[in-house]
Amino acid sequence: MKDRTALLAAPAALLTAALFVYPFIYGLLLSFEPMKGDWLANYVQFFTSDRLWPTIGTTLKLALPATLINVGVALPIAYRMRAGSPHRKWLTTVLVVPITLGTVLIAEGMLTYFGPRGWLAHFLQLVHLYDGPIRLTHNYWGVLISLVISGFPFAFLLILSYVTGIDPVLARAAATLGAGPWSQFRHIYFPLLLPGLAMCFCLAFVQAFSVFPSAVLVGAPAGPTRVISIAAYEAAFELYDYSLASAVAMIMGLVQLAIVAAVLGSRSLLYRGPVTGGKG
Amino acid sequence: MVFQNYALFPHMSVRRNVGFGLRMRGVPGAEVERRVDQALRMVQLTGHQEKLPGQLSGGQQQRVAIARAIVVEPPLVLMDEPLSNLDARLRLEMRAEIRRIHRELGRATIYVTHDQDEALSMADRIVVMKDGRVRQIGAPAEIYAQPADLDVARFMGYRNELPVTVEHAQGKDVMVSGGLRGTAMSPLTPGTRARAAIRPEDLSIGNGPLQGRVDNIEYGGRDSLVDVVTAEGVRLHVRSAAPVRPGENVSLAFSSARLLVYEG
Repeated sequence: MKDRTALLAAPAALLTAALFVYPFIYGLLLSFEPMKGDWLANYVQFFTSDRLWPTIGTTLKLALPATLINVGVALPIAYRMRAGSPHRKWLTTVLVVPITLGTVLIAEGMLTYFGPRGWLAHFLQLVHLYDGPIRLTHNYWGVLISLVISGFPFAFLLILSYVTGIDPVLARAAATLGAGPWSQFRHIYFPLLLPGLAMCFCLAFVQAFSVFPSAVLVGAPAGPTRVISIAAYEAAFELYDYSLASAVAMIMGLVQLAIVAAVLGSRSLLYRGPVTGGKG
Repeated sequence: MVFQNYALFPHMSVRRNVGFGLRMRGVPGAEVERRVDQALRMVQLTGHQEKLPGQLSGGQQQRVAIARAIVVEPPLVLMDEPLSNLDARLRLEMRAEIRRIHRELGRATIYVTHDQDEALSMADRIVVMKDGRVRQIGAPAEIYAQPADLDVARFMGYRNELPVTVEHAQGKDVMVSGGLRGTAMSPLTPGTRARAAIRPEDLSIGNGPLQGRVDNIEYGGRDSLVDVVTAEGVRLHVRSAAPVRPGENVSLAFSSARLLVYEG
């Protein structure tokens, strides 16, 4: 081997193999060794059981809107802040807090704030804006709000770094050629941002798809927010069927992989070169 | 406008880069094609239409930037140090190229540069600015020979400055301390302190009123840049083809028309 610099990556590769590849293969093999029936019995059970296969749809119904909201809202805000705003430090600090706190604390806060007797309900009734019952916890909306609170900062910070990486002189050049603010975004920033947005979408989606704590704490884990990770948890720790749980985990991984592959596949059609306009 | 770092849109082909301004103005497609082809012919980039900026050399990218700026037929073309990112040889080539494009186009162009050679060789009129203020406006030959003040003179290559006292003045002719004859650039009265400026190429080693010791020699091919330090400790730069050695004592001669004396 001539180029031995690849050896420098060996410790990381070993760690990945030990902590990811081995458990993955172990789980994959385990999923083909069901407690009863032939080797595909777990997968047959998953796709025939009314308690199992709809969890894919349930999870997608939460993860896709949450991801679209996070990326879709983060993009215009990050774009507005590209030139650096005096409040940027403030805002990034405020946004990083939910990431560091974790979903359990967010759920805790949501229960007191959005609950039927929470501050929000009190406030709305006080100003007579809305007098009906407010149900934003223990249902679909609770989980969606939680996913946005925990996922938005991540999407925002990632997109902000992509936006600020684009040379602002390109937009100035477009402006001298007659492009208005919208055209500058549409023809210059957006095409250059798309690959980054695709990457951000994938990461945010994978994060949202594996939702578990908030689906239990602020969702309705028996019904509308019975996501796929809850199904896997039940199989493993309530039915003690590790083999079935592994199968559920494998299916979960496949769904994520399919979405990520679709997004990144279309990304290869896009321009992915440098984002500056010449020698700097 | 042509930017210093070109500011080409990296995700668009050369054709789309050049056509951008026309599309923004809502020019119909066929017309855009025709005018883009015409602009690319002018900057001699025909055949590169479908390449991305990243696939072009620095000089080619600069041509695309120029084509993109002129294709919209602006009343005024603004070039912001367009050659400062190119290497020396390419800079000379592009200088001639921009002159040619400018002539063919016949459009007023404001060309910003810090390079006096570039300013002298390309401009019909030069505006010298310092600290945000216009110091002098004039034809290149005028600015070269008659800088309005010391700052303009420094920019135009008057690298040598001597602190002097005016001894005798009559019209433009002036005699300053050290027995040097020069040309007054403003009315001067005897006894005032002044500065005398002269270019390295206007000094020659030979019989003259300035004396000094050769301190350093920078070989430059056809001639050398010789540093001469006078008895008062003033360092003078001289362009000379005469063979001298460091440490040698020499006399410097000049024409009184080329020694410009400024008040101050």
